[in-house]
Amino acid sequence: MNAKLTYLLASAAVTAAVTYLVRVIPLAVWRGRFKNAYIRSLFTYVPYGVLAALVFPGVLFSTESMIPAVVGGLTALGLSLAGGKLLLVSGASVAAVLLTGLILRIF
Amino acid sequence: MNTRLTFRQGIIDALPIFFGYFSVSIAFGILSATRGVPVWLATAVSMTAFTGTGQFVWIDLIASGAAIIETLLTMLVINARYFLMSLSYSQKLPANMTLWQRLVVGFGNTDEVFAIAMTRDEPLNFKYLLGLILCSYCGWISGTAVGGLASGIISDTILSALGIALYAMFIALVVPPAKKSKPVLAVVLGAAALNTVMRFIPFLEFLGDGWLVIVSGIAAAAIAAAVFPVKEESETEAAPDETEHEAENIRKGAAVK
Repeated sequence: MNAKLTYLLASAAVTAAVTYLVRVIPLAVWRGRFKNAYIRSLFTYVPYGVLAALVFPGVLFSTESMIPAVVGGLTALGLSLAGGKLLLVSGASVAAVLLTGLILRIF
Repeated sequence: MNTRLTFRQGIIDALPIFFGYFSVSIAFGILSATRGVPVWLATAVSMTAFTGTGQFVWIDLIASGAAIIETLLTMLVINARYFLMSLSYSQKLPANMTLWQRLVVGFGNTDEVFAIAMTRDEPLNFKYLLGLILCSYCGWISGTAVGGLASGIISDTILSALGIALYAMFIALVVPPAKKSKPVLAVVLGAAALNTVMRFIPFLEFLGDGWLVIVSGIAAAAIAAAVFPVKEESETEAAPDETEHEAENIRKGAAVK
């Protein structure tokens, strides 16, 4: 095996090992529920906070330009408010981005 | 109203992740190929690491010939946020889940799988999570291989449009609970605002997007937890209806003092 490949493999192995251990240790160690009321409230809200931060402002830069991204984001927001399911919202949003891109190219 | 959380339901729920991952990992496959990483190795990295940010940083590291210890430390810093997410996740897993099941679920704890799992009202089970993880995993791996083999064939327009799939999914996940619960709405608006503001603070640039997301998410949740504490539930460990009850409270905002 050449040195370059050995290096790539070692580096890839470290990447995989660190990523896995960091993700799995809390799940393997903490089996029960936290007793402290504040901590429990905190962890109830954390997923929603993280989700919202994942969406905004990242969504604005998720496609090749901002206008299709805004149209796609608003499509997703509108359909979600109307009670649309995950796959529908996601598919319609991709379609809206494609369509907007197409229209922008024509004009 | 309640969907049964079967393996099949897990696959279906993760389809948006499949398409989102497919488009992102194609980019990873293409980038790897341009840096002289063989397709089989790029695919192996996706199979073993199964992480977006970490893998793109890995490309930068090997391109600059970073030492192994540098790679190790960088990965620790980038991935430390997963530690907090897994901690939050551990609170929602059924207490009777076996160790090896936890070892599998931990492997699949990506931002997107976490998001779907944590916003389900129903108590989680291993089969459902396995469906979520497998479907997402297939998207991630197939995209990497396709990107490495067929770079240049896939239209940039389609790839770019698929880029919004994951964001749309996040929106669909966060809107229903935010509609039903004022505290959740406050957390959502607060976290988005904080994250936006922090992005414009030059000093914080070194943190990277992943950290800004987790810091603003936790900060908003920390404030909400103080202002709107969630009412104590019974101490019986992980009885299925307990989790459901808790979720119900959150949805109605009834848990607020």
